[in-house]
Amino acid sequence: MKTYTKLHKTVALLTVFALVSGVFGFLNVQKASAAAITSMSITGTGITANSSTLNTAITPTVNFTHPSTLNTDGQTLQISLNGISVASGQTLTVADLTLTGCSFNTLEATPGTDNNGAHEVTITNGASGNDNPVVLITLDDDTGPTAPSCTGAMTLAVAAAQVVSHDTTAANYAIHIQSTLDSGSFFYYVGDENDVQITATVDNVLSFTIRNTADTADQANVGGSAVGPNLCDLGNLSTAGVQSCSYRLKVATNAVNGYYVQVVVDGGLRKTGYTITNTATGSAPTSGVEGYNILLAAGSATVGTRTTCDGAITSGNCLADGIDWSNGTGTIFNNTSASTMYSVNGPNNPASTDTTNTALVTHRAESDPGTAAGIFNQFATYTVVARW
Amino acid sequence: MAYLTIMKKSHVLITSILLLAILIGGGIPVAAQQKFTGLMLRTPAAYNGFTFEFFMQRGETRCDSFIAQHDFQETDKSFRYYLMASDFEIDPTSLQPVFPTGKLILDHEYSLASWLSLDRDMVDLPHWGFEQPIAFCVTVPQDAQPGTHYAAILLSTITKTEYLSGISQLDEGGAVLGSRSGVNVLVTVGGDVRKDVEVASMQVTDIDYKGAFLNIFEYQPLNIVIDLVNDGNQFAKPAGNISIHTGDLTNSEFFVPFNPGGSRVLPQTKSTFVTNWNDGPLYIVKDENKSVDSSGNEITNYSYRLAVDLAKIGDFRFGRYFVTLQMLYYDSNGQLQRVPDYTVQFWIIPWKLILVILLVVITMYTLWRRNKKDNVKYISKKSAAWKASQRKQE
Repeated sequence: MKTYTKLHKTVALLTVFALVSGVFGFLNVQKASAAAITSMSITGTGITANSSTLNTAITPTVNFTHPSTLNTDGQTLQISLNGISVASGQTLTVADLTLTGCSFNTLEATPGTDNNGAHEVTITNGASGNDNPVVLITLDDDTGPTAPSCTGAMTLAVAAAQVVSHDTTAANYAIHIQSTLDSGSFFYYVGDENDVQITATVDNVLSFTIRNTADTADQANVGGSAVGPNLCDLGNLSTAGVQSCSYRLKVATNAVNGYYVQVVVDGGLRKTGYTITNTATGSAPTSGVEGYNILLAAGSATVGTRTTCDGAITSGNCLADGIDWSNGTGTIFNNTSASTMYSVNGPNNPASTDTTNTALVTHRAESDPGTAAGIFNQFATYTVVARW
Repeated sequence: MAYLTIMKKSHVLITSILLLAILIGGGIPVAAQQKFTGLMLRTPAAYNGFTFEFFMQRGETRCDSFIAQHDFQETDKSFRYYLMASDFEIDPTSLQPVFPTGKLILDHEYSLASWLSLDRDMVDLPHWGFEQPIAFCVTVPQDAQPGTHYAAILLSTITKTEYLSGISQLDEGGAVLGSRSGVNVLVTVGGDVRKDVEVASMQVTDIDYKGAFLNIFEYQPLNIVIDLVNDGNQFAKPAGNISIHTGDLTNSEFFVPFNPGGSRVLPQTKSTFVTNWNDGPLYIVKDENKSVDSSGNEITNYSYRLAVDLAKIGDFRFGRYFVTLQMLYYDSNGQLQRVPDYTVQFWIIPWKLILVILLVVITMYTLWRRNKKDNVKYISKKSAAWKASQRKQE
């Protein structure tokens, strides 16, 4: 009974020991698994980082960092060149390949010679027209015999020109690198499968409005109406001082060639049978003397250059109709033929409230004791068109 | 109960404030930083700006459209625009478009307005963001002259009748302001069409588009002002390059495309193209100075100052330069035509600055010479006195 008990204990102890050893043994196997190959890329003639062109000849170099050291005769390194095709009429051979990163890098075709310092290479899918060739390198000792040492930054290149090309089908191909100790994969973009083309369109835009002096609201309409023409109300023309009213011409456009701002009036400031005397260009109406003209401050444009027609320019930039719209003192306003006040040779993008990139027009009038009583009007039409 | 009453009052107050805010703010949600531009006209991005361009045969009809959009700050206010097709002509001297008054159709061989039909007489834009397509068609008459015809389709705050006949006497005094804006339409009728583009003139001007005596300028910016004439009956869209060089066209100081925006020269008209040159360290800046006159009116005056940009010192402009226009255009048969190169010579000499510097140098030299003479005299005098005193002592 005692013996049986001893046996029983021994069996139990052995079972526990076996189990513990098995578990640790298993864990040890896990610890010895392959490390990840890093810094993988493909470079070379005809290869673009993000989208190489389909079906073009390339001389690829696969770059990678092998963390472990391959240092035993017979260990292998396999590189699957997916997304690459062997060109028609060509064969991928060992002579086309170049290896770096080992203590000696000479390659020879399988079966080769043992311990001659040349690693044996087996190429699968290396025949003419085949896709996805696979290069398997079996390491060899040198004549020493000394074991090779392959580790760290390594490359495998197809150095010969016109031998391989990109695949004819656009896709993201995975290039696999597998050695006895380590492994890794990375994507190689052929064609434009990985591209996203971002497009947007912007319409041509041309806007025009007549705004108040501060550019804070639309200029009031005639008769307080919601629609129709705007009004520049000069008020009551007493003889005590020059009356004025003003507004802004606001043009916004992305037209690269710019725009014209043109004006035409139906006559002077008048009532039936009486027209207020026009004050000549270069003068301002003065208090107590009947007169009427305007003042234009044509402002700027955010992009284009604004040109105000001043008659001084003999070239075609401005009018030769005698109207000096750039006169800083005053301009006669009685042109019954259309006249370009100013033009801009590029876009203008004024702010929501903008007293710089808008044109300020100020009408000024004065009466004297000889001025007829009544309501005086003038009708001005502004026309804005983009340059053709 | 009292608590409930207070709650009720608070709710009413908050609701009232919200309603008031909505009423004041308007019913249309608009971003706070929205730019309001008024009546906005839009054409598709693929179009070259606001010019519709058609190549048509007699009897053919073509249609297209553009968009009118409400972009007024008064977001809830309805705006009404009246549509009208109007011919225009190019003033041969000013080269500016001139729209006719008292009529819309012109009787000249490039007239187009009478061939245009619009799908509506007016358009209402009831609120901000509302857009309305404006469709139009062109029908080329059987007896149309070959070549380019042009007109504009205008949206106007005044009716066609008001534009043609004027506005009757109002109860309010002041200036009544109509506004029109629109798109251009160019129709080239097939047949005996031709383009014949030549350089009418090329001149170099200063910042104010003024020439200089003997073409001697002091500073940049300079403008290259080119007038082209099209003696054909079809519009042309010239292209090419402008080079500024010192005599060797292959070694340019400045090289830019000519007419990069693709502007057109209409038939039997001239058109002006301006290219600005301002890349040196010395340049004139034109400042706009606003002031208010005794009547409270805003007055604008301009002043000029010389600016220096030391970062561009390597591009110092001095001496004789040539500007050369190399121009190309496609003729009516689609053949590329090269216009003979056109070259103008000019100078950049900051002569006033040089004179001032010379004056300063001469003055300083004169003063130095005089000072030196005085010193020599003084020393001679002193020396003579010393010698005399020495002699006396001896």
